[in-house]
Amino acid sequence: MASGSLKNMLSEAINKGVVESRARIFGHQLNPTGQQTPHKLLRMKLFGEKVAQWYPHDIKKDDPLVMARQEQERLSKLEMLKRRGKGPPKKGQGRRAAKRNK
Amino acid sequence: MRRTLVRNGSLYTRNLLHHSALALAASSRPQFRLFSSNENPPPVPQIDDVNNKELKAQIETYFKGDEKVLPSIMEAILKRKLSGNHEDTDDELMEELRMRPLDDVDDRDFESDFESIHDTDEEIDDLYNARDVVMKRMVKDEYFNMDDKKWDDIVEDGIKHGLLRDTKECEEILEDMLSWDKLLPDDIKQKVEVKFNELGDMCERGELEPEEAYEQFKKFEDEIVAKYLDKMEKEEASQFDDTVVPDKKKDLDDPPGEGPILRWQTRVVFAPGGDAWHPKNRKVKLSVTVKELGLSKYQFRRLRELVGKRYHPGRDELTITSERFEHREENRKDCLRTLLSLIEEAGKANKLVDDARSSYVKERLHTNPAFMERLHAKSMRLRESNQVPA
Repeated sequence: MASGSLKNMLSEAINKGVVESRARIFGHQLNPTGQQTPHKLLRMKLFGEKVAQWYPHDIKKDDPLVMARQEQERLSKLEMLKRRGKGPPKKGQGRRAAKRNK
Repeated sequence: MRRTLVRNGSLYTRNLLHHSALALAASSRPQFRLFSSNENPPPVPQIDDVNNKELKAQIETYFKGDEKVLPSIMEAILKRKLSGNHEDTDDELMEELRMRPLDDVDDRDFESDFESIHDTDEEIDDLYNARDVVMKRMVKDEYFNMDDKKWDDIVEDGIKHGLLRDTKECEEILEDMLSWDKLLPDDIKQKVEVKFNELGDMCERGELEPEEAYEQFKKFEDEIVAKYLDKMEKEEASQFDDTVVPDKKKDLDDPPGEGPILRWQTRVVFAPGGDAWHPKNRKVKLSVTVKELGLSKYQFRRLRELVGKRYHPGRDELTITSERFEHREENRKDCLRTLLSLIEEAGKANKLVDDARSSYVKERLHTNPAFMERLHAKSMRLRESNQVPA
């Protein structure tokens, strides 16, 4: 009684379960309610290594002697700046802190 | 041969000289030999020892140029070796002469046998002129240095002059010769084999002589050949009758149309370096004509719903693309898996349509009051009939 003609019934029968089958065959992820899902992130390929290799490898970092000498130079330079009154400011006295007080 | 003879001759010549030089030693040794011969009377008549003087005379005649003396010299040497009386002196002379080379040896005598045994082509004096030599030989001999072109020319001439009228028949004969095992059918082969085994057994048991068995086998073979010829004539007649009737259409394995059913498109990037992997090589595209899949109407409609825009109605072409995996072959497998899954899923449409149609019919009957009334009455009668026997 609720059904219409035979043709409509057959069409509905043909298209029954098509969405689920398509998702299963082609590997789709069904989201009928449109909720937010992490599938997009999970689907992405791992690209951390590709991002990490943006900068070329610096050979100095492999030699501890070179790194120690650079650190020593940095410390000595910092000491000279402090003696001349040009060192880093104390906490709460910098530009950012003053700006926040306003 | 001559070298060995010359060496032995020199040895014995030295032996003679040695003996002549030391007269006392030579005179004493014959006495010793006489004693030994007296002690051993039986071997004396068997051993016919050759004297040094006789051997020397024979060698001198040979060196003068008389070759007929050679076999007698060889016999003399063998006799001296067999007697064993001259072993010590002969050994000493051999050791002395080994260090001295032999001058008069003719190599041609050794080469004559080689030339007679191994016949070779005539030598070309001037190798720098090989082209002219080959051309001359080709002019003299028509069949010298044959190749495919020459052979084809000869065959063509034969056909033109009427010598080779039917090349097809020649080819058939050659093919028959090549595969003579397949000429006769298997049943005739079995008959011949059985007859041969029977005759062989009879010969082994002694019931028949080999000659008689051979005669019987020959007769049997002639009979078989005659029968086969008769069969062939009948078959040819039947074939002639068949030709009048048009040929029946046979079932062919080839699908309609041209070209392969599955059409693959891939990309191959030639990059410098040994590694052949390239990200562009990953993608695979598979095209297939939907008509080739043999789907029914409802199955086709379901397939269209499944694939959506992947189907091109104008060309009736379904295209499946895959670049899911890192390597091309894995993606090809994925394309095939997808195609098979689609065909399987589309195949379910027939069953769904049948179920829908049957449910529709049932519903229509259910809504019909007259049918329901008759059905109810029939069920009541069935119940009453069931209760009566109980």
